[in-house]
Amino acid sequence: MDEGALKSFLYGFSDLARALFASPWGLALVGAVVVVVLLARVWNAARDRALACAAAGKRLGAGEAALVAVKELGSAIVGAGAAIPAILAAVAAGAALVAVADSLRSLEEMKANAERVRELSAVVRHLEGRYKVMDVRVDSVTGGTTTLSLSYYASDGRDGPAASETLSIAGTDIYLDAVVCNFAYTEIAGGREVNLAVPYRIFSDRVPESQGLPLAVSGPDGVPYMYERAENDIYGLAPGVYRERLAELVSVMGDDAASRREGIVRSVYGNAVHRRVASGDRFSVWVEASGGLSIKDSLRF
Amino acid sequence: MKRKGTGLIRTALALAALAALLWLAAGAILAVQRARIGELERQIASLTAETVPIRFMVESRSDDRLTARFAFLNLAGTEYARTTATVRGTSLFVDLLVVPYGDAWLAFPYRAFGELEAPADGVEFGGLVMKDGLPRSHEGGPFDHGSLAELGRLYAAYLAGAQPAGAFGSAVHDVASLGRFKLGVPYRVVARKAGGIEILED
Repeated sequence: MDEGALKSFLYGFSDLARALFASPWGLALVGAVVVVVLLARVWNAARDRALACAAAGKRLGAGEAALVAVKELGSAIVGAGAAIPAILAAVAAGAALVAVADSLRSLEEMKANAERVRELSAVVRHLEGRYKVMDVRVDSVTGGTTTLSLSYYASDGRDGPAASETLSIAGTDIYLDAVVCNFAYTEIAGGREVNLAVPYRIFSDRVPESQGLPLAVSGPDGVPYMYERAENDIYGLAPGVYRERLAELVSVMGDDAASRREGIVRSVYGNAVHRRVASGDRFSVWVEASGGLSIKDSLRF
Repeated sequence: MKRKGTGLIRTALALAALAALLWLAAGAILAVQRARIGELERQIASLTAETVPIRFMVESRSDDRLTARFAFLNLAGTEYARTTATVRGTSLFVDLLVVPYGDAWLAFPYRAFGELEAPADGVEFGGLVMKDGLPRSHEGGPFDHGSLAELGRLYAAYLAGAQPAGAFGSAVHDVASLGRFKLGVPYRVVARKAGGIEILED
């Protein structure tokens, strides 16, 4: 008997046993069968006695018939009592088979659950992920003007920031503006995409966005540092192909409506995160896998 | 014969006991696994869940003025205030205060401004949000009166110029090169559990 047939037998036996002994209808059916068997036995005995009486020229009376029935029932009970060890063995063996079948099923479910836990953990890991966009250090706040050192990060695995610059701007509530591209959750959850943010401008509570200062966030090839990801990070392609895909991606970002129609991108918009600063403050801007930008300082991690 | 029968029963009982032990162990492991799966599913739902503090629609746009209508919603999604604001510029910035609270981040409507004006000259929403010291933006959710009062104090302090620990502002806006907000089309500002703010077309 191969494994499949053995499993089929065990599962079939287990299902039948459960249906017969673990459900009201099943128990009713078993009870009805027992009653019918007993009635048949009593009926047989009574009929035999009636035939014997007829042969002797007598008629079987009601009292005698009742005695026959009681005797027959008693003998059935005595017979069952004598078979108790065999019945117990059969019940124990049946229960063991049911338990083995259930354990096998449980093992299969455990295997499937372990796989599901692995998948869901990966989804949570992807959705909880965040990428650092920049570090901000407030060098000074004097006379209502803030001087900051900004360090921009690429996500290509290199240690430390990809570039840094120092800027001064009027105001003390500093806005760090970026274009954010949030991919569909199905893409993020599957680990196929990571949300992107390209910082491009700084302004403040006193300086309008249109008069803000541009940020030097692009490398020598004109590609923003945040796009310079390890090949495997987004596409898992060779560098040349990766660049082609990058161009496609930028074009997708350029057409918000089309990209949403394609179901790849959930939203593309500008996001200026800001904070009232004091000299010596340090914080980082992150792009969240669940969507949008955040400012979180190192104390929170 | 009797000895053989007893041995058979003992063997069957031993097997049944062993199988029952296996069954119990498997049940315990399965219960732990199911609890973990439920927890992970709740975590995923919470990470992708959205609260919508503001809905808006751009009504008109000229070379240097933009007028938009805003609806403010509490945690139950019920509108508690509505206003129309005009800002200087062609891009609309919708600014929110994001505050850490437990393991989540809460978003409060802060102000709206255009790219041609300093944010400080924009239209503040504080007066619409606060009522009797409580932020209406966080009614209709899990917060009791005490928690709402605490949030109200935090929000009021920010409006007064303080910087609550860990809090930050997040102004979401349209970008000329990516396409402006369409006139007459409703958009929703979405706050995520991890602190991100997003704009989605309704």
